[in-house]
Amino acid sequence: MKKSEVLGSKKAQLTLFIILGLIIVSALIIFFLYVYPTFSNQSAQLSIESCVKDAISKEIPSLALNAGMINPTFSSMYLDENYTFICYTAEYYKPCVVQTPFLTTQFEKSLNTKVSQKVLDCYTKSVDRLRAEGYQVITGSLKSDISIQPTQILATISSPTSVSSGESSQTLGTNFEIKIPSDLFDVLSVSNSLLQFETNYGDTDTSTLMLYYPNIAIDKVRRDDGIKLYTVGNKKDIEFKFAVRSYAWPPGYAV
Amino acid sequence: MKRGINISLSILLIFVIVTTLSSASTLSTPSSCCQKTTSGAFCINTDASQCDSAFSIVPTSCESTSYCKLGTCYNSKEGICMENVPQTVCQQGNGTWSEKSPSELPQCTLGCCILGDQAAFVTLARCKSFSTFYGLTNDFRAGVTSETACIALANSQDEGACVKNEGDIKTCTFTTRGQCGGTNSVLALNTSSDETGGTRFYKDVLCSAEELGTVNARQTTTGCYQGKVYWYDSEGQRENVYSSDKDTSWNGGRVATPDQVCGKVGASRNCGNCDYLLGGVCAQWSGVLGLGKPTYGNYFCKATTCTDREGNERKNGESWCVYDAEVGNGRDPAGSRHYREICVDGEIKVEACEDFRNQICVHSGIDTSEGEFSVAACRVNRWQDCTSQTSKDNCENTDQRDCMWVAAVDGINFSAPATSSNSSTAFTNPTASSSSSSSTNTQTAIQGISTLSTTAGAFSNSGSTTTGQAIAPITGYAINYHVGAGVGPWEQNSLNNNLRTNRTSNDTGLCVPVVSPGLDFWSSSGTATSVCSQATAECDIRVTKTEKYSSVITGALGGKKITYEIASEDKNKTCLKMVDASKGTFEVNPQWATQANAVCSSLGDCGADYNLNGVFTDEGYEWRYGNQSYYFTNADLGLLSGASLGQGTGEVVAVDYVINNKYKLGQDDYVYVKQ
Repeated sequence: MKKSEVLGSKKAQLTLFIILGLIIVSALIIFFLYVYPTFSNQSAQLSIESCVKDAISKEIPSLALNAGMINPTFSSMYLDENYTFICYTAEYYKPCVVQTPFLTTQFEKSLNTKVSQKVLDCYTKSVDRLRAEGYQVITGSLKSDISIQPTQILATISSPTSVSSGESSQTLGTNFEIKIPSDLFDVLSVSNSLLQFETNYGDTDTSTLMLYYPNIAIDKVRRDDGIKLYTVGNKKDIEFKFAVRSYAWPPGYAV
Repeated sequence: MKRGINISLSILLIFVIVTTLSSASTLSTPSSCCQKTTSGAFCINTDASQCDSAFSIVPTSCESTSYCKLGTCYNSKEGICMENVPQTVCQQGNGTWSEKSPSELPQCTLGCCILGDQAAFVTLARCKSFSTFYGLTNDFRAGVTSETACIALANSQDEGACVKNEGDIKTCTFTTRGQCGGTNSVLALNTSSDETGGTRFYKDVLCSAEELGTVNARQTTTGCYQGKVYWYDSEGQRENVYSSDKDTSWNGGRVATPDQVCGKVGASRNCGNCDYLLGGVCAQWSGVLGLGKPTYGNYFCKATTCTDREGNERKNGESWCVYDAEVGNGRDPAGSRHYREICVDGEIKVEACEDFRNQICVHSGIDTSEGEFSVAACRVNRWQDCTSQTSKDNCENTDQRDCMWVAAVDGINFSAPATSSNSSTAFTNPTASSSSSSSTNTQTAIQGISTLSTTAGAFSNSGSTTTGQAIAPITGYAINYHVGAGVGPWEQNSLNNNLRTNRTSNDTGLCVPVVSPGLDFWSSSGTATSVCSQATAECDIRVTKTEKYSSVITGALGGKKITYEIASEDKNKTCLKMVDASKGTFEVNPQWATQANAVCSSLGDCGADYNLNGVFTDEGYEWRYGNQSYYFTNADLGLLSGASLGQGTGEVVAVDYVINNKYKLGQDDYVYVKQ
């Protein structure tokens, strides 16, 4: 090989290395300026979503066992389980007095109360994680609202959040909507129908309702003294339990 | 002065009367209205001691207060109206309260909400909420006033292909005419649709119909819809009911009714026309290695069945009656109860009817191609006015009441006021009361009346089980049970072979409940005494004494012949049997007493009888002849049932007991335990 050829080859190599170096540096600049925060955005959002989903999913079964109330006091014990009264009368021959008229509204209210702090925790953890990764995070006031809808539970979280790193800054989002597939709406609607029947007629035909709603199972247990215990479930993870005493009859009634 | 005293006395008297009435009134209405009870219930009429002192307590009915007055509560968010809601509870629940009934409130008016091919009978507000959620046009029909009409309206809607032409792209959805909103088009067979622009609705045409020229490819997947299996095209649009005969199902791209595709089935992997009455519902296949997989797709008609307590197979949705003891014909023992069982997804759910037999289980059947589909229900036991009925026709009018007409028993008269037990002691021993009269050939009624009586009473609490134990069968611990056949007539009417009381077609008889009600015989405030005392029987027999003298001399020497005879009008009475006509001695007739007792116990938990646990209680009756009391013996107990009831101590005796012609329990199925 000639000396001039060797020198030419070295120059070419150097040029190649310089070009490669420029490409890497450019890629790093682009990555840190644009790509990384975008990734962070997605990561933070996903972190809130799974965390909130977990929080809501864990609370629903326990609230359902108490007829959607947080600390019910008025209940009937049966086989070591408390059934909360949603309609009651102490008298005979009388329709029950409704104690909880709107089961869905009540459930939403309890769910919001139980979950709001956990949602805040989810959000705080997510923000802390971003800060730990070197970002400056500016947050606004957090608001969450959970509503029970047909086929799903919708959690709406308002959290104006912007993240900045160096000179770049980005708003991660203001409203997050998290949808959790659930049969809770159907369960509560059927329970409300049972409540309306009990208020008007003092009894229900559970098999007809189960025919109309094949995905819903209804258990009715009659106790002494006219108390009826209902368990309305979706055959999977929800069991909504409540008690009713309506149009009770004494032994040897109407004599 | 006298006048002044009179006025003072009058005032005093009025004061006393007013005070007495006032106190009586207070005593007769001891309850108060608790705005909140100590247990947390709102607006309950109960004893003042139960009220939470932090809330209002008023010694009156809650209806008289403003905060606990009951009315209708409306929630605009949910679009639901609830009746019987106290004002305070409604306001706490963010509702709007009105004392008017829902029918008087426009926001509570129900109508038919059309949601695509579905419908819901709800308020306008709820309809709007649903329509918004599903992204549909709000279609609320206030003129529809019943849920049935609403469902019928949804089912009768025209369905077909809704084709949107957007340039070169044609999209198709299978929906109703209302939801499509397009202009109508008629598509003839074997012609292609070359119409362009806008939205067009083709009634009874599938989106995969070749003439439409859409991208929808026929019969790609299957899925469940309204309990049946349907074919779906490549774009997820519903087609006809699934059949492994694809061409028949596709029907040339036209809508076919499920029955046109294939007949109704319970279980099938080739036909998706699942029929609920045959136990069939659409289900997803979840087997392994393709075993039992439907011919196409992953959905099939699955027939879920249950096996009842007697090993009979029951279809999904079927319900039937179950009893924990003998049933009907006044045989229901104290503590027993009726139940109904339902087959739901392979699991049997037990629903007890109201305790104390306030409800009875009745059933009927629906004829299907695979036999009868049994349907059972708990309904009110209408026994209250049985004893007021004086004719067989009125008694056994099943539109009005649940009673049966049984043979009359001497001395029982339901229309007569119940006699207290103390008054039934007017007995005169014919022998002891022989008259000193010595008139020749005279007939002398012996001091009026000979009386034998049974006094009906309720069981005492001692040694008997309360009805609380009847809860056991709910949790599956029933020992003595039997299952209603679910076919033919009501079980209670099929038990004539084992009657304690005798049904009769005679005009004279007694009307008693078919299913005797349960009574709280242990409670002093209960109705047991008033119910049971109706069956108090007093059997009065007049006896004539005849003294015959063969001659004056022999008569004077004591040569008279005395005979006693039951008066002709009382000869048919069965309560006493004459043992010796010359001495005028009688003996009690256990058969009469047991018949009286049978009527007594058919009225409720009265008289002498076995309870649910097979424990015999004989404290519910008094059987007296004069000052002598009598009790049923083992031999008499046989008469109680007309069958071989257990009589020995600690003995378990099986009764071969027929419910109806189609169903017969074996020896081990039905036991009485005499403890």
